[in-house]
This record gives sequence, C-alpha cells and structure tokens, in this order.
Amino acid sequence: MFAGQLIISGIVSGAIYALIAVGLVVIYKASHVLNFAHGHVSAVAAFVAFSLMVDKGMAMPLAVPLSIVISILVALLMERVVIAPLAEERPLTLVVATLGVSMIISGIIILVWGPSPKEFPPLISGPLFTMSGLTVTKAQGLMVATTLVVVALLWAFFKFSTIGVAMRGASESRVIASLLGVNLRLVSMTSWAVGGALGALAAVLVAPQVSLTPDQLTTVVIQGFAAVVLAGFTNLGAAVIGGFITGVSLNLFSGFVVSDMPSTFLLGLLLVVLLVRPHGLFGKGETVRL
Amino acid sequence: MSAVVSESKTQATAGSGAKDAVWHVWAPLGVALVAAALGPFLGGYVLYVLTFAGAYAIVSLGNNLLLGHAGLVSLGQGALMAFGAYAAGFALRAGVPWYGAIPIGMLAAGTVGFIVGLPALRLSGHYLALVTLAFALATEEIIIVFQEYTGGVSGMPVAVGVPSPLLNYEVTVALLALLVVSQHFLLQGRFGRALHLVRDSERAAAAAGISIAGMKLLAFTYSGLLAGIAGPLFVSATQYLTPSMFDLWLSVNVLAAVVLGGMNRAVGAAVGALFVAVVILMSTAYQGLASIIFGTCLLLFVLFVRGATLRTLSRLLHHLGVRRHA
Repeated sequence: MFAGQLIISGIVSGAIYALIAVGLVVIYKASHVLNFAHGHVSAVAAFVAFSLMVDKGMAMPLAVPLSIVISILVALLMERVVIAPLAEERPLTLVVATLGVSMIISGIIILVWGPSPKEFPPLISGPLFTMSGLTVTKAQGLMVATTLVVVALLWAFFKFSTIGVAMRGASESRVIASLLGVNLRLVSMTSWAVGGALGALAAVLVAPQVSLTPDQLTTVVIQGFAAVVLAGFTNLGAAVIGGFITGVSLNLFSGFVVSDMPSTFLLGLLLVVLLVRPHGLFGKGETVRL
Repeated sequence: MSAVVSESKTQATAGSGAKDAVWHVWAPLGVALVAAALGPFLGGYVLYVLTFAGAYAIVSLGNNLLLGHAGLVSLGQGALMAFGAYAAGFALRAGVPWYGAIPIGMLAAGTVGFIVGLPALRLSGHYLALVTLAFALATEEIIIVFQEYTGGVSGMPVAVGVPSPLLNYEVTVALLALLVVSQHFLLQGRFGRALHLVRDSERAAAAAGISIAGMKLLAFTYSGLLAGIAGPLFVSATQYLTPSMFDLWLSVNVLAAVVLGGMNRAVGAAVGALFVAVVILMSTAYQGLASIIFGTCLLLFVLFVRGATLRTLSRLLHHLGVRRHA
C-alpha cells in the first residue's frame, strides 16, 4: 500500500522530470549545450503566473498560457543574445554562459519577488479516483496527462512537420542541413522556444506542490538533468523513460531508506549508471569534450 | 609524475619568460608584501573581507589548475571547501591549535578530492559537470543529516582556538602568495606540460607515457588540498559554519572566478576570486544583486573578452604608460 502510493507519486514527479528532461534534450540537440539556466528560465513562468493570479486576480486559464509565453520569450532572448553568438565555441564556454544567464535570472527574481517562499495556488484540486485504497488526485492526473499529451504532440511535431524534420536533420549535421536549405537560425530558435515552453509548463505544474523560491525550480531541474544523463542526452523517448525512472526510484528511496537525501541518492544513481554505461542507459557513445 | 619545479624553460603557458616573471612572481609577491604590511592598520571588517576573499582565491587557484590546465570541469569545489572547513572546525573544537587545523582540513578535502576524481577517469564534459554538481548538493545534505555533529541547518559555532583576525589575515596573505607563485612554477615544469598534454589530447599523452588516470587524480587531489587550506582559513574568519555557506552557488562562483581570471593563469584566478568575494560581501544588503553582477560579467566576458582579464588589464596598463623592469 505504502509502496503503491510511493510509486504513484514517483510516476507523477517522474512526469515533471520527463517534461524538463525532454526540454533539455531538445535544446541540447540544437545547441549542444546542457542548459544550466533551464531551472531559472522555467521559474520565470511560475513567478509570473503567481503574480498574475494572486496579485492581479487573473483567471488561471489566461494566466498560465501568458506566463509560459513570457518564459518562451526569455528562452528566445537567451538564444539570440547569448547562445547564437557562441555557437562555434567549446561546450565549456557555453556551459559558463548558461550559468551566467542562470545567475542573472536568479538575481532578478530575488530582486523582484524577494527570497521568501511563495504559496502558489493549486491549479486543480480534489481526488481523481481511488482504487483499492490508493488515491490519485486530480492535480497528479493533470501532471501525468499533460506530460503524455505533450510528448505525443512533440513526437508528431518531429515526425511530420517540416520544421520538426529540419530540426532533426540539423542535429545530425548542421552543414548538410544548411546545404539542403534548412534555416539553421529558425531551427535553433524553435528548439529554444520548445525547450522553454516545456520547462515553463513543468514549472507551473509543479509550483503548487513545492514552496516556490527563486532557486527551487533548479532543484527540480537537477532531477531532470539526472534523467537526461540516464537517457544519454540525445534521445527524446529515452529522456521520458529516464524521467520516470528517476521519479519512481527517488520516491522509493525517500520512502524506504532516507527521506531527506534526494541529491545523495541521485549522485549514487548517476555514478552507478555512468560507470557501467558512460554514455547513459540509451546513449550512443558520442564523445563530448569540454 | 613528480612536481618538478626547476625546469621552467617551457612555452606551456602563454607569454615570454621575463615578462612572465614580473606578472606571475614579482607582482603577486609585491602585492602580498604590501597587503601584509598594511594588516595592522586595517579595521576588523576590512580584515574579515580580505581574509574571506583570500580563502576564496585559494579555492579558485585549485580550480584554475583543474579547469584551465587539466580541462576538468568541477561544480563541486565549494563542497570540497566544506569538507576542509568542517574538518578544521571539528579539530579546533577538539582543542587542536589553528596551525594544526590547516593540515587536517587539507587531509580531509584532499582525500575527498581524490575520491571525486575517480569518476573523472571515466567521465568528461557535461557528465563530469553534472556528477560534481550532484556531489555539491549531496554534501550540503550530508552536513544537514549529520546534525548531531554539525549542528545541521542551524550551524556550528567554532569560537575556540581560532587565531586572532589579524594573524589569520596574515597567514591567508602569506599562503595565497606562496600558492600563486608555486602553482606558476609547478605548471611551468614537467607536471604542467604533462597536464596540458592530457587536456589537449589523451592519445598523445598516452603515447608519451603519461598516466592519464594519474594526472587527473593528481589534479583533483590538488584542487582538494587547496580547498582544504581555504576551509580552515575561512572558518577562522567566520567562527561559524552552516551548510548554506557551501551551497551550489559557492561552487558556481568559484568557477566564475576562474573563468573571469582567464582560465590558465594562477594570478588571474586569484584576482578573479578577490573580485567575486568582495562583490559578494559588499552586496549582502541587496540580495540578488551579486548574482546579477557576476552573471553579467560572465556573459560579457565569454561574449567579448574571452582571452584573459589579466591580459586585458596588462595591455591597458601598458597603453597608459605603466611599464615595469624585468
């Protein structure tokens, strides 16, 4: 029973990690950088949504999309101003640049909203269903359903849309893609917009479940990083699976072993997986040099 | 591979010999001498700020060797410093004199540095950055979980056995100057060349008979030892330890200091760290401001400067007509 409840909440947090991980992978495939600013770019959406809903009294169906758009704009700004000019640089330079963006956004959030935790209003409340003693709330159902729908849409986008196919091609070879007439700038911007949207969506979904502080989303994103590493960086489907593996195993560990050492568990999980398979569970041995 | 100091005829680091000596040996020694002589005239708060900055600079030196010369990205340097600081804190509380606490801090952080270096033998790039990041977060958790010994979130006072602020300041200045100069010579020699070869081409290094694993572990252990020197100096200045002092931002700031200092120069790392530490302490009244300043500096740096702040500064001085005799 207890284990069942843990697995359910693990699947729910896994859904959030999956959203984050997929966003990170989309960005990684376009710019070959692990976006260390993902948590703070996403956090912008949660804080904007908080202000719109709590301070301005805006209705949720209006406030949430609006806040996600703001996050997308931040991601696009970051891509144009910081990432695109550094496209030919070593990955290390890009990592440092994303850390720089992370610091700036974190500082701005602290200046505007203050360092104290915010109580984010629930998006939806009440139980969805109860089955043999296990309760699933509507909020939990919403998170899993959103993730599944978004991943399905994304799959279709990459499979059937022209820009989606162009994005896959560009990630295989930028040179060949541009010779075939693919607009690399558009590809990169679309990738960052999609990544930003996914992160923002995850942030707004998870915000009611946590105490919303400027750096809180970064803690959540680190689980997303773990999912990405488990998945091996470049495979979208694997990133989703990695998200669920991270969520469920972390919840079981917290429930049965030690409750307040999630990062220590992740460190152990990462080490074990990477020492056995240095390029992740589903990775294809691409060497990445910093 | 032993650390050979004598063979300094090498082009491993940029710059010509005589000019190098001015910037990397005589300038830091001169500045340190002036700083040490000024010590007795400085107020308590200024002493605190400078000691804090000096400890920061020592951790950054270690990260400079790791990142700039060995090409290994670590987001866990702040956590290594935490091991040094807490080990020294326990030692001081147990009655060990302050000069004994420094080797104890080095032993603790050096050992942990060695252990953190082990995954680096198999991992590189983003993977290594992430594993060290997880290590930094795990360290904070471990300090909190062992609250019986560490005081948990509320922290641990270390008021006994610490040197006077002035003495601690002088020791920090002396150690920092010594480390800047010795690291410069260390990297000029065989050790530095071997490290650069491992960084630039592991195959070439292996062909030259260099133990890649050995060099990487040495680099991590070295960065741990320096974090282990900084930790005790830090705790003697603050006389208090909390886990939040060693959060992820400390590691990120140390990385920022090294990048701003120009990656491959010991003096640069020290200057970068002094800048970072002073900004942190000066902006405590405006939370978030320090983050914005560093983030902006980092971006401006990677977008426009990239070479080295130090080089830019020395060119600027050159243009202004400031010349030194070698």
